[in-house]
Amino acid sequence: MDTASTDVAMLLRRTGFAPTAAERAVASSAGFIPTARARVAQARTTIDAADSLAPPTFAPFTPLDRSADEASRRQALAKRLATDRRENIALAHWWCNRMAQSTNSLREKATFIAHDHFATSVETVKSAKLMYDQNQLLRTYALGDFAELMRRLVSDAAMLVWLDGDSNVAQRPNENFAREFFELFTLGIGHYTETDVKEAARAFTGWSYTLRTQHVAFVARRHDNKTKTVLGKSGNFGSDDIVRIAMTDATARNVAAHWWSRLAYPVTIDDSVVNDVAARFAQRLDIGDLVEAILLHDAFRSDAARTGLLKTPLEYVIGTMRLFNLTAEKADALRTLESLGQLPFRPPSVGGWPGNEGWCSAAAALTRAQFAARVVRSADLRSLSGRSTNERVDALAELLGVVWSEGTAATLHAHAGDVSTLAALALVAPEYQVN
Amino acid sequence: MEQLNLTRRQVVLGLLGVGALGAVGGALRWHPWDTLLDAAAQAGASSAGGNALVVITLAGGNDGLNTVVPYTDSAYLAVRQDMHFGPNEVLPLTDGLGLHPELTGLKALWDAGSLAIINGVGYPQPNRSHFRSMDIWQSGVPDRQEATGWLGRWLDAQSPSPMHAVSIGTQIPLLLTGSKRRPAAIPATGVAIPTMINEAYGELGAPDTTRGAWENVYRTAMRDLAAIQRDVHNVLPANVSKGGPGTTTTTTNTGVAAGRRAGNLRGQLDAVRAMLAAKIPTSVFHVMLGGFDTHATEKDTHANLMREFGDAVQTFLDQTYALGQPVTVVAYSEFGRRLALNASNGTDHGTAAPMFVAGNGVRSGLYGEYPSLTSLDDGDLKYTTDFRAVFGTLAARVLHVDPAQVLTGPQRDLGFLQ
Repeated sequence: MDTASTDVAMLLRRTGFAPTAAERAVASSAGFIPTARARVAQARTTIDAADSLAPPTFAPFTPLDRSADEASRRQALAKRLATDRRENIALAHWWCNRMAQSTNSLREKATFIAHDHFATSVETVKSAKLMYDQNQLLRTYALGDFAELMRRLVSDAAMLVWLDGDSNVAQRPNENFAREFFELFTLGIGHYTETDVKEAARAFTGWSYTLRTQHVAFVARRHDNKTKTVLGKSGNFGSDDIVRIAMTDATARNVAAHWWSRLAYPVTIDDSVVNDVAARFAQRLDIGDLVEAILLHDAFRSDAARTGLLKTPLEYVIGTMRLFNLTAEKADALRTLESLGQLPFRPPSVGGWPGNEGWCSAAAALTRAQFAARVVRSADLRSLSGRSTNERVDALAELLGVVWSEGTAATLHAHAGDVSTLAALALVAPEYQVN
Repeated sequence: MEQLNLTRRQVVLGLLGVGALGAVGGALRWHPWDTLLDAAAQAGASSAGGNALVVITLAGGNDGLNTVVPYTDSAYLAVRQDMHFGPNEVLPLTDGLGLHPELTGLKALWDAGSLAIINGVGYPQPNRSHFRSMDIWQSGVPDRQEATGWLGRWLDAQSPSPMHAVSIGTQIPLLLTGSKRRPAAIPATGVAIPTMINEAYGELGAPDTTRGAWENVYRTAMRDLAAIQRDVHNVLPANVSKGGPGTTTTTTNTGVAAGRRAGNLRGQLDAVRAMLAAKIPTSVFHVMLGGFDTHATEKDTHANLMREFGDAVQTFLDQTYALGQPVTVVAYSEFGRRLALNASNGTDHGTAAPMFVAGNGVRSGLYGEYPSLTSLDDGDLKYTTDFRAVFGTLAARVLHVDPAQVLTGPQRDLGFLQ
């Protein structure tokens, strides 16, 4: 593969999940820049064939009957826990299948990058329905107005439960959300003080989530209606005001670094590329602008980028599902993702998921190997078995979108006789672990 | 803000000085398993002088009040009317305290003189968020976000070998994460690369200087896997096949927290035993038992956990004693639970709770003051012993390091180890 084709392939991988050979060919003809622009433009639209995948249904909340006897209460609760568990599994399957089958995969990738940024876990939220609603919110603004997304996240039910927003009241402010808002979601460490956190917490008061009705409301008497001073500005601020005040250059850089690190290669906020793309992003705080700036930056087509990212567990599993036409259920995707530490809707903390070295333990390599063995047992490998042994190694390279090193090619050729073994080896080969 | 206060996120995202390709090796050293096994063998006994420390994380927040039970305290009976244990049910210790009826394993250790219980362990300004409090316990730093664990900082001072510390499971906890070093993560079920690719696997992982730095990091992980399998496969228990207990350390965890289990403590400790028996020179092990977040219908769930915890620890210590391997076990949870039950027959997140230390060198007995059930902090127990003093005592007595090198805050030796 020449550099231009390699870069186009990388572009498709980074802005989606495992492009097919056909998709790579089309994009190569169109060229890198037109393809980059087209993908961003498409991700701004809402059309996706994966919409045909029905989302899970969620049982309405039914309060437990407190007057019932102990045994009945216990039974009712066990039933609810079982329902919750089913819904969580169904939700995770739904999103995994959506990502694998999406015809608008940059939008799905962006939704996941946002999920990683505003990392919220069902483990605390305890409601698949709320996680689904948040997911749709993230999808709506995937390549859209960052400030508007931030405004809506403040009163998102899942977020309120996750970071105690619903118990943040004027009489007793809870700083959990305000802290993560400044530290992780917007400015980043070093650009605000503890006092800013306290004051912002006061401004964020008033949002209330009611479990029984599953509704969010702003309750005036819970809101602190006095003057606050945040980031040097004073006023009787509410949530929207804090979001507005927080949209500074520091926020632009922090967000830009988050997206650059996931699309190109890991960087800190001080990196010069961050300044470049942050400046573009800051113009109208539009994520689509940011993504396009990243893709079109010279440093995106560099060796640093080409070798800078390993496939995250999600990219590895979803990409493989896509290439072998497997559903999440068939591929036993959730078990693998859980074992590798990247189950959607269940980030390890509000800090989101780790980067490259979080995926490099020997144990993680083992889990990928076990997944590979399962995939080749479930997948249709006839397109391979129909070929001669000599052709199979190249056919796999073409399918997976990789170029084998000499060493790998030699190992694969030695095992090309058995199609399952060959495919499994290809899936665990180091070249395929690179994004 | 002058001080660079790195968040854990920044560390794990590799934002510590990893810019150019060549710097990858600087920030996080990757040494092939083989080289390190040889180096460890040449260096002789492990750096902790042959004594191993096993840290058990009880994840979710263990209900200390029903674990070490103040069964003669009328306040206990009053507040836990619907879920209490009476004198006929507890396993009596001393001083009006008894163990949960299912903790027969710990009672046996107590009777044998090998169990220390430190009551009321916590820290100032308790945090009731799972993530935040667990980070506090594992990092040893209550007042800010810290990116390394107290044992990770110990690890940083050791020679560059992944052998010093092992985390059973596929994830590496903050506890063992250093700024330079990380432990080995080894699944309890052992290491068995699928048969069909086993033969060629190690070959695929050969280093290749024509490839990028991160790909080579992954290649090293593959070689490590093949080498670990070779060294450890015969050593770890053969419950590898599908469906065996502890097949994965996180089974069907897509359920809500109340029923969730990061299960099979017995299997994880068995893996530790096997490694000790094979004289793999590891000083620190980490295992985990989850499911303690008992917000609803606590009684049965907690009882099952108590049985699993007590039995697994007793079996493990009996076996390692028979092997002649000195091991000290410590168990902790990220917080206790509230005194009063909630409306779902469970309890919500609380504060102080007991810690357990058992095994080699333990001076059996009760330590620290049982928290008052009447003088409370916002409805929760006030801690009486700072957790850093417990960890500091372990650092000094088991790992033979000056606690001040890995911990700040209270350093008093609590005296539960010889």
